Amino acid sequence: MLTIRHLTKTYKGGKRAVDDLSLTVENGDIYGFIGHNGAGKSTTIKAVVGVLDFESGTIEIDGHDVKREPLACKQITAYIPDNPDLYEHLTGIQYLNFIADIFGVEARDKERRIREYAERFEITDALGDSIASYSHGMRQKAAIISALIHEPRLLVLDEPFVGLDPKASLTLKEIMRELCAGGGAIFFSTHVLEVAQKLCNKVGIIRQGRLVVDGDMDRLVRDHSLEELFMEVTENE
Amino acid sequence: MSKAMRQLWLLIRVQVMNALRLDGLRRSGTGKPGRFVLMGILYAFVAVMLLGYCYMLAMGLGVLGLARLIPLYALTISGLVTIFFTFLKANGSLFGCRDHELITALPVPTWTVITSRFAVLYLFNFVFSLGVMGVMGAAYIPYAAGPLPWIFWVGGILLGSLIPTTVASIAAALVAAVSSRFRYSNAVYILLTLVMVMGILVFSFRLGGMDESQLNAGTIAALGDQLALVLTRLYPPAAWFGAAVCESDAAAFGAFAGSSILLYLVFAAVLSVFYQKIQDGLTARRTTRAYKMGRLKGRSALGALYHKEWKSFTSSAVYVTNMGVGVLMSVAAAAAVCFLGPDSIMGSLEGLAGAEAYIGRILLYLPVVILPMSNTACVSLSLEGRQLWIIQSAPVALRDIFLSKILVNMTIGLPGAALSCLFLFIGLGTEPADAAAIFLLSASAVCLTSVSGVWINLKFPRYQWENQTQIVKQSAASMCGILGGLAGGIILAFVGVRLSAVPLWMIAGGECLALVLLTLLIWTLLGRVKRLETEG
Repeated sequence: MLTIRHLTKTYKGGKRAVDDLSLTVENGDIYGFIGHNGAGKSTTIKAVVGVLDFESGTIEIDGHDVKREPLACKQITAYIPDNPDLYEHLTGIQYLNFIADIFGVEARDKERRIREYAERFEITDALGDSIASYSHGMRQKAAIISALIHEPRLLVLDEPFVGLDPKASLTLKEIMRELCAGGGAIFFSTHVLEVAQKLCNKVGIIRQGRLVVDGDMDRLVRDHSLEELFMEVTENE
Repeated sequence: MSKAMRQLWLLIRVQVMNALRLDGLRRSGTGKPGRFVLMGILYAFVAVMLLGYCYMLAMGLGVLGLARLIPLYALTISGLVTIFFTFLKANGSLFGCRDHELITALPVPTWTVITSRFAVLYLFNFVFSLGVMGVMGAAYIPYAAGPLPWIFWVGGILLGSLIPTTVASIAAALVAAVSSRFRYSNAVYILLTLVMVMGILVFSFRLGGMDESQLNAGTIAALGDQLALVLTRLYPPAAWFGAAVCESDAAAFGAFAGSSILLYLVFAAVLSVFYQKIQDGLTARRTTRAYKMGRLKGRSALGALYHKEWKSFTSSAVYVTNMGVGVLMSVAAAAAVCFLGPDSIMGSLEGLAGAEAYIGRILLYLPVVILPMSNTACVSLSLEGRQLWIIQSAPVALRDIFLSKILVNMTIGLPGAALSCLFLFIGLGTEPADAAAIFLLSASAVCLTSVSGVWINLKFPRYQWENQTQIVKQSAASMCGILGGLAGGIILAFVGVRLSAVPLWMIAGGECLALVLLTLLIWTLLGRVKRLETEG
């Protein structure tokens, strides 16, 4: 579903944020992408979803190159950034309607999915209010619903659990599993290693822009915890 | 330095750096030198034009033997322009700032917060004041007697923008206070601001117009008295400043300086009491928590983008009042011509040899000159700000994104053009062929403004900002869009008036064709843009 080959991204000013990074996320995978602050997680994610340009390497989503066929890639991908900055001048329902229209979702599907996800995240009664009045957690819920409206095949999430209450976190985990069970794939970054260990079947650890660990969770962790593996990898190198 | 002064200094410093983006330039090391040079050239061009005009005006007054009017003119021009623009940007600078909660949580007195925000407004106005009064002071050199006028002049430069900044802030605070009491405070704020802007324009115009129509009758001396009367009526503190400089009257300067400082102190003290209440009222969001799912309207991707863009425009007071003012001024001026007659606009040209012959033609070019000052498109990309990721990650072509922004400007510009032209044609009894050509020219000016607006914003993007005022009023894109539109309109009008021997429909038709071609060229260039460049 997602193939990254030799991705390199250098910011203006010379900082190399991602250095020759390669990884693969197959259909049905939940891939946890972990690393320290500033390790290059968000840069990689932004390059995948077409928000950030990169100088070398290739990224393919379901066989489409993100540089040559950006619209085809975006049509089957959903992205939630680490900070859910949504249009504050719109109400929740206006925002969700806007995103659904942008992705060309049929009216009947749109209504059904918004109704379903809004109920699961317990946000239906607030959808008529301005997003400016939303708390961080409510914005995050709205961002998650907007990401699911078009039934993406690849979900790319940057710290998706930040700001969510325990119930909403549980709901999101359920939805992530459902999406993968349906043949989709998830690529997400997190600092909550316990969640990553329980939720993901694959894990990648990035350190100073380079992928230092990549593989099946069970094979890599074995009898230890992901936290121990992470500390060992990031402190020993 | 005391703790209060240090806090004030730190707040002012961070706000000035933010407004000027000095921090960004410093951090990046390179600071995009090409763009920086372009911005420098742009600002220098505007400064040269404005200051050149002021200097020539002062020189002209001196040659006419009206040197005593130079200080009055200097302070009045600086003061009135400051009032107009400060009023428009007070929302976002004094009120409604994104960092309000952050600053309020700090252990800093409200008075210090207000003073720091006011100081930033004052500093920018001071730079303007320094330029205008500086060059006019240079023209006054041959007429100054002794050192006192110079001391007072320097004092005038330092204090000159204090009263207008305070007056504009009071007006903005009143508008904010009134609108914060309403359920739809933002809509009320926009309405009151637009009414106030029109009020300022009509007030200054009518005061100036009344007496200028009588100027031709008198001698030069009487003309000087008339002008002095007009200026001091327009801007009363100018009388004190004029007396201080021309007559070395220390008491008059004391009155000027004292009133300037006292007015601010009273304003800050009163506002301190209501500041938080006004902020709360303006930023409070109505929540009902009672939404019931119903039928949802479906739109095309372009339709959805346009709707989002239109909501973005109409929900922002600073965006509407600054970028919609050109349309408002054009319609108001055309309505004045229609209902009050051409003299209501062109009174100042009366008596000038041959001017009457040009008046009709000049008036017909009003929409072409004024409408391009409304350019919502030139800041629309920057205003995406932190939400830019939404359209960047959406499966829509860049052309559709650009088109949605262009269409919003056309939505306000084209009806504005139609209404302005209608009023003008009725008021002036324009020939059908001329009317058709002028309408098409006005409409094509709006189209070019809209398309070039997006192009300008692509050249001068800025997605990191704290309040919309920084983008709408202070960004290079905004300046380029508004002044570029105005300059283009003036050139078109100049050509139309200069070639008065050629039928108007022919000139306007030719100009229209040129604008259409230019619009198509820029639209083609927009089609070649592959991605939105962020600053990362």
